[in-house]
Amino acid sequence: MREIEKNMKPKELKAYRTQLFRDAEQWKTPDRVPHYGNIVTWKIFDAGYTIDQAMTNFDVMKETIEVFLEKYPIDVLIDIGIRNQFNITEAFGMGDNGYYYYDKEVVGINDHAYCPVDRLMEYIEDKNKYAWEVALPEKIPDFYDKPMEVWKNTWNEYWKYIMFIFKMNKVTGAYGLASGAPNNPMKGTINFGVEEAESNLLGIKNLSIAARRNFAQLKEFCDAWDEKETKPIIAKILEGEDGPDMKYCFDASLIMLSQNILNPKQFDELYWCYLEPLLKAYEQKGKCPRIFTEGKIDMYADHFADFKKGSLAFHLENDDPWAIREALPNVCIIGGLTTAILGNATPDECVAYTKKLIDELGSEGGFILSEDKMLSYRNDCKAENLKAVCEFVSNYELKK
Amino acid sequence: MAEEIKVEEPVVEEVKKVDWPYASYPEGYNKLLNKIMPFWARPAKKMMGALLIRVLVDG
Repeated sequence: MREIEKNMKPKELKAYRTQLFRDAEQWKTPDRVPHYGNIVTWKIFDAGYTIDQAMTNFDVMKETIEVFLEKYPIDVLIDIGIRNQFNITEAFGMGDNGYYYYDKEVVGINDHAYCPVDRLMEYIEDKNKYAWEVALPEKIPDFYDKPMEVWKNTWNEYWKYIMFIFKMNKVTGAYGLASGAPNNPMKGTINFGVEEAESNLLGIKNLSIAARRNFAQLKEFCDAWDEKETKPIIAKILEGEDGPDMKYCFDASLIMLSQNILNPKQFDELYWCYLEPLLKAYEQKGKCPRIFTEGKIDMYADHFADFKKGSLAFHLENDDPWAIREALPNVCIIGGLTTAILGNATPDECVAYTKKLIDELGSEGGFILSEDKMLSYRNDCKAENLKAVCEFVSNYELKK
Repeated sequence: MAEEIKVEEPVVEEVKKVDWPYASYPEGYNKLLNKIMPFWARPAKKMMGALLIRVLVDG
């Protein structure tokens, strides 16, 4: 870390780091390129624990985060130890019926789908009612038989989890870690009907089928989702203040995944017609959302070509950052580091590659360093490689 | 002609109508929250209860 940053107090460092992100997004040359840590459960192995030891023990998880932040001078961390805590579902006796599962080495997602296509409208009518009366009893065979004591224990674990979130915000604040993005103006994550259908309601397989066989029903659901969920968010954005919210590095965080299984016509009619007005609202207000473009986005690059510089930042996963820069010279790129390099190359090779990324993509802004995949598995990264990259990027000053 | 892909339709059984006193939403659900939430937390019942449902569905 540079001396100037070492001498800052945590709040000052947090504000400074936030400014680095905002400069990069706005295509102003930042003092140095910021590093957005797309690092999840890999941190646990690096701290000497296994997944099962950290996932149900808040003290271990807290130690994991502190060890990580002591070792690596990263500017933002996608996960501060508060994802996938299993104490709540275990108190409820979820067993094998949970969304997630874990063992010593892996946190994974069980295949799941809560809703057949002909009940999508019932779901959107009242999501909580559907969850309570339909999804949970179907998901958990003994849902109606849980003793009150189990419910009370579940509540207690839930409350401890909420308190842990507050605690971890304090812990990371002491390291001057910047905050990624606020919740959406209506609270919660910004999501779209087709993404909800893919990730929770129908699942990948049934969404693929429904997009061909039940297009009208799917479209009706996506329209209803737009009315109920997306349009109120747009209204809030337009009513709000102009310009970036300097408490955060980005003004919103979105995840795109289902574009990978939709054809262009389906993408336009089930996704883009709802996404574009939201992005235009952010653009109009001088704000910049981060979009995690899981899988690939290059096939739809033309859709984003007309946005003003400074109004979009793509966090790339499988796309080539140089190809995206050529296709979308208006979009700030987040990414560049691959698990293939971090897990297999030498520290010198990692640093040389990082320098090339910064020199070619970020010397005049428009680039934020990050990992392409969420670092999750033990072999996703070698500690000495991440250490070398962090030391380099946190010291490599850009010419203004 | 492209071969028709046979795909199993998801089987969704009708939810059993039971005598569980908390089975309905929002009435039964609110009753259950009143049983499990401490008194001081109840002002935040709407938000925290909704989040708890989400944790159970997505967790």
